[in-house]
Amino acid sequence: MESVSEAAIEARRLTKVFDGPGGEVRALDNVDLIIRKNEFFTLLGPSGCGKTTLLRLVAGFEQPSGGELLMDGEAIAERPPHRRPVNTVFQSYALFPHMTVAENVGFGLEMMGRPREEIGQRVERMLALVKLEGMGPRRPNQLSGGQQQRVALARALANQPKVLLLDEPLSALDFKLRKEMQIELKRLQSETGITFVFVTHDQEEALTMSDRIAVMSDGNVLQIGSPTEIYEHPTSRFVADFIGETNLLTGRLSERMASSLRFELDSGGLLEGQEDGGNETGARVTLAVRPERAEISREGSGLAARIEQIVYFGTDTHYHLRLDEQTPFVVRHQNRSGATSRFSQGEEVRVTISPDAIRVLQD
Amino acid sequence: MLEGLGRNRFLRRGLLLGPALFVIGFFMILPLFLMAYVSILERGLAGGVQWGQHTLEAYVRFLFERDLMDNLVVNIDYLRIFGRSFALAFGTMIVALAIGLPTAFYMALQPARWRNLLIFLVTIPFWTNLLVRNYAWILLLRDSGLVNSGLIWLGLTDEPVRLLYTPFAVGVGLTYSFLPFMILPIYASLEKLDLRLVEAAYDLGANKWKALTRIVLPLALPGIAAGSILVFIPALGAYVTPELLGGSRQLMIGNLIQGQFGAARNWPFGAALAFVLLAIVLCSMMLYLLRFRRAPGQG
Repeated sequence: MESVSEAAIEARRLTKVFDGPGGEVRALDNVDLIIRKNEFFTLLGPSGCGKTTLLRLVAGFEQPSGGELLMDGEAIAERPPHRRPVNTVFQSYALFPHMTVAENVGFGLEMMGRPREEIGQRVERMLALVKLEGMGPRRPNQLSGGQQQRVALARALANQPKVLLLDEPLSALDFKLRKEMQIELKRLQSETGITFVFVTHDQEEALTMSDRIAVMSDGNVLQIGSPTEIYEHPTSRFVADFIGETNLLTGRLSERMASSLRFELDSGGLLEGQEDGGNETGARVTLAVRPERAEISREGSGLAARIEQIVYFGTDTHYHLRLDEQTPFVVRHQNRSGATSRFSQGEEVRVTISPDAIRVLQD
Repeated sequence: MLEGLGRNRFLRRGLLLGPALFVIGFFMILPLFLMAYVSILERGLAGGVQWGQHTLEAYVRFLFERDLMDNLVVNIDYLRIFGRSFALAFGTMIVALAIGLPTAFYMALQPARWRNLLIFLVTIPFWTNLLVRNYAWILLLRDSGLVNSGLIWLGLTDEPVRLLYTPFAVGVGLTYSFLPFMILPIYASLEKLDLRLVEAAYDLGANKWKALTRIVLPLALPGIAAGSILVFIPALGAYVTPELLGGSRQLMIGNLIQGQFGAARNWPFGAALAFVLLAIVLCSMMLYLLRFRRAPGQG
């Protein structure tokens, strides 16, 4: 048996430079990355961050400008796409319009020279796996977007690749279908045991589906970790801001006490925290606080704030506040009792944040 | 003014369709019926027809001739000319396809800014009259022409090879004349081809050859079909090229028909020949379209 932590894909100082009309574009800049076997790994970042470029390098559609790319410990940069045990689900699905669904799904097997009978059986099994039994004789353009998506999945899985690459496969689906497919993908991944590398710009999608996430920006991997790590312990301002909503506060690490630290905020007021993020006493710091980790009350200690706006979301209510009349701060309150807000617009309130909810960012 | 007409849909439709209907009716349908009528009339002795005197003699004449005893004897001379025309037109189509397909591929794979220039280059021959271009080929292909001087200079032959007034010359002329009609539709279908489909084929294990034959060519089929039709049909009815490059021995249908209205002064027979040609073209077109009807609608 192979150990679970063994690397399916490893990138070492992987670099890709494109010649754009305005000079060179570094799409990937010395990226180091290990994708483990059998994991659901997500590359998350805004458009242009390099996540799709990384995927295309793994698939073999692009050649790296520098660094190494290993699959099962073997360098694969020189291998053409059709000689890699990797298959891709394209954002546009890229189904062959002149072939039936069954011909699409069986295409890879046909290319591998498998006997016709085996192809037929495997195609049936693949269509059953993605719940498209009986759709084999149809043409892709006779299917709905969600069904086309499933065909693309079945086609990519039919070759039993070691790694399945998914390039924003859900972005063209509507909300409800997307939710369904997220669960579906998770199921397929655990059933097949294939390593999934999933590219998305949707942080919620990344959080709900992944075993591990790599957050990318400007051709760099900023942080790699489990969804909880990424969400609860963002190390940089970008990650904190990109994943979920975050309040950013600037200030100074002013004092170390026996069991806690004290931060002096630029907006005035003091906060008690637990981690120093590796900073010396007196250093300038950026703090991140999730909106759901803060509370507001009419009196007590806490930071002074004024309610600018109250937005009702059904399950919860967002209070948009200003600390010292300028720094924005959002508090999310879950509506457990009744629909009416306890507070009103323009009211002066106090914000309390528990010490373990305060993250010190590293940039 | 057009908004006012919007109230009356029929009037507006009529006005918008009017010019097209007029052109098609007066310049196509009417002459077609006129020709059909002429083909079933008695020939006038000095050309023209004898109005009101109906006969199917012209159609009979296509396949038979009358001997001295007025018996019908099969005569395949005209069929032979039709056969030659079909062979030449078909050959022209194949050669144009063989040249046009790679050319269109090359064009479609160039960066966008080059493509328009290449299309422009392909259409440049259209700037010159067909007659002039065919005369140019006479200059190239005749015994003292560029091709033969070149062959002699290279020492490949001692005396000029007979090129002009051969089926070869007609084929060259036809291919040259109609090549752009092959290139442009194929280019159009290749240009809108989604390259991600080719990537998907590679991704699924197809090598270049498989990606070409299984993905690219099937998707370019509508363009290939259109180009083939656009070359085959005008080549079949070609008149100027065989007249100039084929001489008197390489008669094609176009020349035969022209001869009936001209020197032979047999208008009904000329009209009948034109209708036989039309019928054959329509039938072969229908077969062709049936074959390619399943070509995909591309999204």
